[in-house]
Amino acid sequence: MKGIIYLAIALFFTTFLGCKKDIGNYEYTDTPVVQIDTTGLGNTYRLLRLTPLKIAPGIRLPEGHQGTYKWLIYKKQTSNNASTSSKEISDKAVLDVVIAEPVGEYVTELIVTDATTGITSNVTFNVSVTANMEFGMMILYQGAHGGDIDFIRTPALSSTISGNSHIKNMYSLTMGKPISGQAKFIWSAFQAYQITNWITVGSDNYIARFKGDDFTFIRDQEDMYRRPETVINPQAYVFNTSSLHVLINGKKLHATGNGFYESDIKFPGPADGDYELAPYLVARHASSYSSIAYDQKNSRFVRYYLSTNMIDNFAAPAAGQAFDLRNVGKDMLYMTNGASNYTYAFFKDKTGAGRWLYVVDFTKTSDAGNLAVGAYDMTDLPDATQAKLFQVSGFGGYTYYATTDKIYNYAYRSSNTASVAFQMPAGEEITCMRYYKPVPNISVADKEERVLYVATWNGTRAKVYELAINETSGVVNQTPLNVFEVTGKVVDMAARATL
Amino acid sequence: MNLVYKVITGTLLTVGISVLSSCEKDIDGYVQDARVYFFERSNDLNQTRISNRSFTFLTVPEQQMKDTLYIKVKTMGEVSAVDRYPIAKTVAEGSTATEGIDYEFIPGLVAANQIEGNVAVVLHRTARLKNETVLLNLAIGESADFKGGVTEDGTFTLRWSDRLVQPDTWPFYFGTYSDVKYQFIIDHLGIADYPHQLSPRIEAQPGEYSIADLQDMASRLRIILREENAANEGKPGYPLRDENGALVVF
Repeated sequence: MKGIIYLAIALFFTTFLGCKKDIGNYEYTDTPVVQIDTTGLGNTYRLLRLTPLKIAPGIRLPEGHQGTYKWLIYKKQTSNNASTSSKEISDKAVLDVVIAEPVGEYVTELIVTDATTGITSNVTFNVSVTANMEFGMMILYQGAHGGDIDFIRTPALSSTISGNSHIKNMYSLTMGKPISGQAKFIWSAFQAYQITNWITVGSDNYIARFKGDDFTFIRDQEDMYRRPETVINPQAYVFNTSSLHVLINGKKLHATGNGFYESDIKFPGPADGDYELAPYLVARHASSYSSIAYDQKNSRFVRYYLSTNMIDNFAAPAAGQAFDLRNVGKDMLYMTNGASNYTYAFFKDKTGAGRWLYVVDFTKTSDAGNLAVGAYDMTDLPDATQAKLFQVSGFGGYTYYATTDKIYNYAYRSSNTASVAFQMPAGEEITCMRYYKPVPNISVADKEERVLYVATWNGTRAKVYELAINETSGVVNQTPLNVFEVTGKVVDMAARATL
Repeated sequence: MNLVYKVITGTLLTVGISVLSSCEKDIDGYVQDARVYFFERSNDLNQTRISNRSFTFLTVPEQQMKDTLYIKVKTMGEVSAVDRYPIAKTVAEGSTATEGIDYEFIPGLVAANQIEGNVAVVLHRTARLKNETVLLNLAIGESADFKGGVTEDGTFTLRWSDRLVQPDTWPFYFGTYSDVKYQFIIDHLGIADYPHQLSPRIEAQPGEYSIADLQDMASRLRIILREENAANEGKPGYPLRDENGALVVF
């Protein structure tokens, strides 16, 4: 009997012995760890998209140890959805990188690894990325490796801007490479209370659409066209007052219909007709014309019919008209809108030195052959034959024309004379000239056409001059408000504006 | 004695329970048979179920007597590391097409490590398709790899023909329908069906058309027709007229 009792007791203890906690038999020693000191750094960084994020925490490695560094950035979690992937943005101890993430809230994390022990330490910072692209001037230029875009903001462009800012290389920072081909145009399309808020960029073999708020990519190339077989050769683009996106591609007109969603705003096949367009478009005209352009092949203005996707002639001129829109007989040098929302077209004669300014009222809703307003002979103006760039005032009866190094103020309406308005520094060649002409101008009407941007190139570097002007007389203040350096020859500039 | 007996009994019970508790049998996990169901869905926000499809041999070269139609399926059960082959079968009720004459089934494919694939039906271009549209109701057949899955997606309907019949999706932008006009469109665009983009908030898939797409097609056809009429000026049948004698216009 005792044997049974002993056996049972032995079994009992044996069974529970395995449950005995192992209290261990170890020696504990302190292992030195990396210390990251964030004193005085703050926890949240707010910055403009495509500007540098700089964070320099104090890092103390154990004596004699080496460290490796990894900075990550990832979306800040605001729900229980699956986490977004992180991206390594630096392997340096001090962070100094341009942030190209879309506008939003992010976390950037520094992970320091002690290479000797393999022990890691980390610290996180909140990053709030904004864009501030409501008002400014977009600069498109051709650099050594391709096209790119800068964005300039100064107090001259909006009363909401207190200081200058210059965001560089917006395109290449967003897309990872420069614009292919020869850069041609940039345009901001904004429509109040509608979806349209895009920036369109084109070169001779490339076209792309970006979000206007922060310049994040939307679509490009064949995704911009309804017919994938279209040979991509953009030359001019405009978002006009009929809410049509109009493109000249391969000398042909492509106009989008009105669409409710961005994904359906694509360029259809070319407008039907026998024509070759000059690479100029205007935004303001009566909606009954859908779009107007100039047919260089047949030396005539043409109108566009959206319903049948075709171009056609304007009506024959009524008696006393200054010229025949169907037979101008000249080559177009430039076309833009100006005072009274008229269309101002600069021409040269097909032979000889004749230079002309033709003014047309395309704001008349019906064409009774009476759209021509006036024809101004520019031939005898100083350096008229050297004029290569033009701008037309919306406030006064003057235009600017620029030669290689001079800007002339041409009083076409009063005296038909021109005088030098601004002389560029020696060695600098004018490559682009644009008013600050924001659309919409509701919030910045007091700034519209108060500054003129003139870009120059000296063979190695470019400058953009911000010149203050009198909006009614065109008199230019001889001291630039600002001068910005750009890393390529400027080919186009456009105002960026919202409500 | 009584105390000793209680101690022994208690000890043996404790030991017995402790020992036997380790013998508890593991419960097997649930294993789903490999199954597939039809998974054709519209390109809209709700991914609306599609349970039928039409096909015409009009867009197929005349000498081609067969064409294979693939219908998307989705799997149930574990993902497989090897390719698997679902197959369809006929549902006799309502079908007017005859297996072996009008069509045949061949194995479809669910590629390795994928949860979506397709079943395949080879459609035959028989003479009667010139006069009628045939209909086939099909279901998922049992193969070595799959059985039929979700009941709601268990059947699918195919209709096909080889004749001009105004499609339900004929666009307003093409104007009045005629067989001649329809044939002209098929000849030049190679498109016989014009389903509208269901939600412009979602990028159109190939084979879906927005209003602007259809307007662009009409614009293209207008130019092609004009050029064809000009190239054949004075020849019989030109300018192109429809079966009712009216000029074809876009």
